Amino acid sequence: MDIRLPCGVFNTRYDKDTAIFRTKERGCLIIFIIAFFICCPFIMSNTFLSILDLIFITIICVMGINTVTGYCGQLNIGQSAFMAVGAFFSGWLAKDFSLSFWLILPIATLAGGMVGGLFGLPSLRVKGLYLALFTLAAQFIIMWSFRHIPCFGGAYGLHLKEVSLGSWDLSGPRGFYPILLLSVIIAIYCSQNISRTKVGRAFVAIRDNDLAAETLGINIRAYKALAFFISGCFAGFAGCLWAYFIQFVGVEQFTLLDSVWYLGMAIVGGLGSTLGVIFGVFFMKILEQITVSWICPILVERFPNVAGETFAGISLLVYGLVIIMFLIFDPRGLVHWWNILKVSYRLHPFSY
Amino acid sequence: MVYLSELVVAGLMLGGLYGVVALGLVLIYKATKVFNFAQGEMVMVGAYSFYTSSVILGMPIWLSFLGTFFLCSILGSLLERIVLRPLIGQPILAMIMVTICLSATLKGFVTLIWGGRRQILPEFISKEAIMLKGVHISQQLLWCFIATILATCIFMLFFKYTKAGLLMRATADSHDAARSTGVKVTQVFIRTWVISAMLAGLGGIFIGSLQGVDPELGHIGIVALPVAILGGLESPSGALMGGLIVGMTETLAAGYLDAAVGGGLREITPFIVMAIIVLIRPFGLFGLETIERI
Repeated sequence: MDIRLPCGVFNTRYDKDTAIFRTKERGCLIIFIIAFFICCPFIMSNTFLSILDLIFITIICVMGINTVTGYCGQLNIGQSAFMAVGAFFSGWLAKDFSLSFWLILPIATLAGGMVGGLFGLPSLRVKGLYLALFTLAAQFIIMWSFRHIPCFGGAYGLHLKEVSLGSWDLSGPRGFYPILLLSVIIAIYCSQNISRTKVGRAFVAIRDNDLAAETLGINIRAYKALAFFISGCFAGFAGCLWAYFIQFVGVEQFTLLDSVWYLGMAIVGGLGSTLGVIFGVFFMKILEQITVSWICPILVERFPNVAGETFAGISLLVYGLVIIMFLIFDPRGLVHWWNILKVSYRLHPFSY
Repeated sequence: MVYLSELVVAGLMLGGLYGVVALGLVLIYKATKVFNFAQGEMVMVGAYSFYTSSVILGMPIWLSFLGTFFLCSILGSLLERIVLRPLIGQPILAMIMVTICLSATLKGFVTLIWGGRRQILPEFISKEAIMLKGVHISQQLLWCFIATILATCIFMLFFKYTKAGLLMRATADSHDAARSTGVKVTQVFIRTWVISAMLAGLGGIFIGSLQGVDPELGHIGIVALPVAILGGLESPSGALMGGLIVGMTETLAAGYLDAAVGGGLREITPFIVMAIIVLIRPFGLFGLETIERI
């Protein structure tokens, strides 16, 4: 019996057991949350809205990491480069071929997927540390290629025009928000779906013990390549949205440290769970905003003789420390705390 | 011909630089099976310690060397005790993420304390180049090269013939077996990290005197990763060999192929080497071969 379900919920069919709306309360909560986010553009200011937009884009990107590292257990420190593939392809196609956003989006997603799949092929041969090092090399190689191939803008980057759907102008934090909200809902749904189908079960089997999975007849080569492909698709999708949201693509937006933070967000939220990605991204991005907008100005006031750039160090320090502390004290992440909360609420006054 | 020999010599000297960083990496991996992504940042902290001792505190050079080693040993033992000890036995992802985030944390810490601007170290090796048969050899790089070779020989002998070295290898093989023969595993770990941190400090002094001390110095740690992998993660001589090979490849590629590709090959060659090595022979030239059929 799953103690994470409330009393009285017994499923007699497999599809009910893996449904997204398992209980009425959960369904109502999900609908309420979606309705809240639909109302956000009307109640929030532009700054908060742009933070929320970036959070949505990051959620899509980190969903990719969750698929390949959380579900399938293949280490991937190159996600930022795959996102850059989507972004740079979008910029290039928009500039040189003048395609519309709606056509570029699937192309960029596929491009990200292909590159992700290509640089994930070594997972068929090596695993663990060596795969992580290969993806690290891939990160540098891909970003170097974008800097040195002329059609991708070189050192100056690419500028993009705004998105428009018919006569609506969908630019800026408020204009682009509906697309982002729809995209993030689709991404969450896709990720959740992957986890409850045969593909997801194969991924989890590979993560837990790939030799045993092979003996059970799962084609681990195909599934590992598929995991990287899916991860690249998520990243390409996020990259295209990023390019059109910021309306500028430059090589310095996609560094190794960004890849590390994406992986860190997945870990802090809880690897191997879609909800974990959402928690992790919200947590780290809000932490970033608190550090940059509150703590830094206070510190600059208090210590005026220290140069301002010194406080760029504080954001590195804070994120690194937070991820390290989560790894030392609670590697299962925020989603574990959420599950404990749910179970203790349901089993109150008994202990969970 | 002179151009080729200049490139080769420059590559060898650069390889010495990479070798000293990779040597610390290999040391930690050989004794604790932890891959330390933060080695570059430990080098950076070593450089900053030397800067503090010699410029801020104004101590003479030989005392600054000692001060750097002292500070680095404190750093190494603190890192092991606080960050790495709780993670013994955890899966590899945790170990990789912790060391990467440690590198970011150290960088932020250093930027906070010492500022982000580049600082110059006092010159204890002359900047003039020696001329040997028409080839320029930079003296600073030459001394670093000599120091790396010395350090590699010392560690090869250490791991092979001394009791402490054997103890470290035994502990890396199996904590439980080592513990059952009375070895205090945690002490071995601390010793390893202290030695590696002191080595990183030495590297930091040389690199800092070469190109100034700033928070971006840690980037050499990222370039040292291909060197360690190429040489094999369990082999100190492999670190040196890997460093020489990667250094030479880098300078030769930059010297001859830059025109064809449009520049910038210097940064990317180590990573191309790493990608090829991971695909062809992941355990490197001298590493222990583990065959795992997937």
